Amino acid sequence: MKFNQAVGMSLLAAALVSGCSTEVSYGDAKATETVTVDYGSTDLQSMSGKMVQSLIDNPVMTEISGSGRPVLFVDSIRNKTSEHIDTEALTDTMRTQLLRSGKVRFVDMSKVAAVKEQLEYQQAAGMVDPASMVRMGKQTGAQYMLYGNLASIVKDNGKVKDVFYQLTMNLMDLKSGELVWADQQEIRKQSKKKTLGW
Amino acid sequence: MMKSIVLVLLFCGLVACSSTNGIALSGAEGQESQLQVDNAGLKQRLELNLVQQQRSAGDGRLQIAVRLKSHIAYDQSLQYRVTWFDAAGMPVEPDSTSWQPLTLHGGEQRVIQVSALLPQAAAFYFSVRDVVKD
Repeated sequence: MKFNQAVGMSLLAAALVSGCSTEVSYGDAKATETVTVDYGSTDLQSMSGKMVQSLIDNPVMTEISGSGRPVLFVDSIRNKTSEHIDTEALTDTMRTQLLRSGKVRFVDMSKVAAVKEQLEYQQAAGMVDPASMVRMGKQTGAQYMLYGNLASIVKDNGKVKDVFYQLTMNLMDLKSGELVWADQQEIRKQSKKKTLGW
Repeated sequence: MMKSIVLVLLFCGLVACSSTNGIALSGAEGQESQLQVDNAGLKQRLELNLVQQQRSAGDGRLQIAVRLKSHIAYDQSLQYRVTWFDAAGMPVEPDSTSWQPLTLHGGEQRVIQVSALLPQAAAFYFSVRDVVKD
């Protein structure tokens, strides 16, 4: 009996000690993540994926891409939540998926200064072969602007934390100033403190 | 005493493991959809049906509508993903789709509509599994 007890205690001790060690492993970047209730990778992938799906499925996309792929530029998504969220990751994901769909083209306004510097160097430095020189004033102008807001409502009563995220995206026709498409994607997440368990 | 310890350890082990296999619906243009069951427990809790499969009128992308029906009385935390294949069976933009979380309430049925990103998609694989708690 004493031997059995000793074996049992050893097993329990081994289980507890092994629970304290650190283990590193690769996870599935596409799997649903539920580590905390805060904004996470699944929210980014879910919101951006559904928003892109909504835009390319909408009849307005067929209409504006009827005479060739329209040129868009992405303005920032304003973070109106209480969290620090990298909204550029959202716009980058949406832009990549839209480009890969082959339905639209994009100009990147975040690189205007670097492009201008390079073009000025090509024109003025006298070091670039004129035959391969990129001329000023030949860039394509954007026809539509994609922009949005990310808002959240947080409720916490000590036992339950409820977070509601709402992403709103708009597509504006720069010539007329009209909004030609808009959509909202919403996510609700809850975390509950357990009375028992670890 | 010994039995109690073994039972406790066994229970902890069972709680820590959640199954990552699920059930899936696959289909291609002009063919009947097929259900693949890798998780018999989930199959008892959830019914999957293909409601519609068509090409979009504008650009010819494949669109599917799948109905998920819960056969139990309480909420299920699920995740689903669609993988698209071209006519030759090669995956189309496989890294562009991620698992989407879905909470299905007791007895609820919901139709999920998904479109392929590119028109060369000719077949689909719609898989559902339980959310694995981190």
